[in-house]
Amino acid sequence: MEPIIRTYNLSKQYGTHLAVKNLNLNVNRGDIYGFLGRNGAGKSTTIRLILSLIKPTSGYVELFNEKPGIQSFARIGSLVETPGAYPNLSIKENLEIQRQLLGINSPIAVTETLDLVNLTKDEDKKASTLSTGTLQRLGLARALLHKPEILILDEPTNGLDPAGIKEIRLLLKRLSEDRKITIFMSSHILAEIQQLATRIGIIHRGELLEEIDYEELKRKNRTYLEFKVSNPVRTTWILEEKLQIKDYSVHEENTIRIYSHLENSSTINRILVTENIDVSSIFLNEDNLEDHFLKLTSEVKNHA
Amino acid sequence: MLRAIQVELKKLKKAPMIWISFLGVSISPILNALIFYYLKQLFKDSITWEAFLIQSISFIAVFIGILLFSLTATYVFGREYTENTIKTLFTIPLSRESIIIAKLVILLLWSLTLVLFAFLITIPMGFIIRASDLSLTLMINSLIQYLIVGLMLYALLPIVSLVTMLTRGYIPAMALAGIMTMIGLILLNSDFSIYFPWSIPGIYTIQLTQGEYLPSSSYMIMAGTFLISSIANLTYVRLADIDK
Repeated sequence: MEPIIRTYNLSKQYGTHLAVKNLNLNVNRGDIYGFLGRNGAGKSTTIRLILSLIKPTSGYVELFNEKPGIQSFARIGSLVETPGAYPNLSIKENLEIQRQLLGINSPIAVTETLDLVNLTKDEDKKASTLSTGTLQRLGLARALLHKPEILILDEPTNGLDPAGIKEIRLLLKRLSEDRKITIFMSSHILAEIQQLATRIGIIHRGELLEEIDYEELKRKNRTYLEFKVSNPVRTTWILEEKLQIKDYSVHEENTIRIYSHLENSSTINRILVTENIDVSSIFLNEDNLEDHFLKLTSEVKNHA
Repeated sequence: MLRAIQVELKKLKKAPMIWISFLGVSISPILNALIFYYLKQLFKDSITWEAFLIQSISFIAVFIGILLFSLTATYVFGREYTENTIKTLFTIPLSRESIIIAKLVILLLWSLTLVLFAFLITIPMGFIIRASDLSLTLMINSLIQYLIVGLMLYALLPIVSLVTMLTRGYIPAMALAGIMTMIGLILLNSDFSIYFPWSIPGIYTIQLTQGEYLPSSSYMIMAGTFLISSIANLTYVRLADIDK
């Protein structure tokens, strides 16, 4: 795994308010990194720090394994919060301006990108007449124009209707699969992250609470039955031999988590007891990403 | 750098501010012609081209120029904030400084075009009111004087652009331009007028009508104002956080 965005103890302070605290992010090439946090958690500040739009109070950022310079921007496309556009110009003219600024010679890049974000039919519309959703698409088109290696998106589905959200989700998936673009996207909408991300970072009150591969998180948060037993070794033998349960894991303090046969908790308990295993507790865990997120952020709240 | 300048030009396409600025600058020659026409009727005096041409640019230098040119500067710089494009502009593979220099180059072109336009409007007006004593030398000298006024008014713009960037809006910068115009007008009758950057363009044209010329220190003050405020622009933009 090649690290492509890294931050080292990155902090940003505004007056007495520490917006981002000692952030250590690791985004690898090919990731769709979902940067999850409530409103005001520090997502946009982090993105601005990564893009050198603001300077860190302490710590630093590495892009492509080096300190970011203006040449990094040739390899990065970004969309930060509310997208802007020159209102006196059409969608196409706005993109033409970006093409020229990026030093792209071929005008085909504009038509291709318009097509990619489904804006071809609206290309002559003046930016002053566009809805938030269309402006968002234009912002995305601008970010994609130079075929970047990294796409950094701050709340990319803001202002889009459900059909638009789905369309952008599919587009991002396609970009990740076809162009192998690394996507770093922030959101406060869990469902959005859940459907796209391969890696998740959870930020709360400026602190990175967790950074984890989504598969690992799913595994961690799978629904399971947790038994606290007197003899874990014998219990695993009973599970396998007598109950044909293979999908389980053994944890500390004599606990065993069973990921299948969840509806048979009483049967499992009865058989364990008849096999002279003391079961001191049974617990059904049904966490999903939302529960996980809320648990994680409220833990911080409780400890604050 | 060149592509940043080309892009700045493209951004002005169909921008209403272009028409506003040309309309604004043409008020002066038209008003000037009306006043001279009225005076001619009143005193039955003949009007010389020299007086007519100087008076026309003097209206711009003394009254509307600072405000009008400041408006173009706040537009070129302020729109990136009000139209939310600054984040896009500062995340391209071009230095922030080169983007600011491109904007200042555009403002220079715009300023010179405006005084040139005022000159071109003044000419037919002069024929309409039948001004006398026209010569090619006079025309060339006058054109140079118009361009000098354009350069002087332009030299004040980096201060306006700096305030625009600092406050991320048009109003404080335009208020500053308004206040400076007022102070400049108040100082016009004082000895200090040749040292105050906002009254120098006005006093330059007034002295021309009296056959006098500005001391070189006035030109140096204008050049110094431009240089210091331009450097302040570049320093600010290099250090500024784009957090809105």
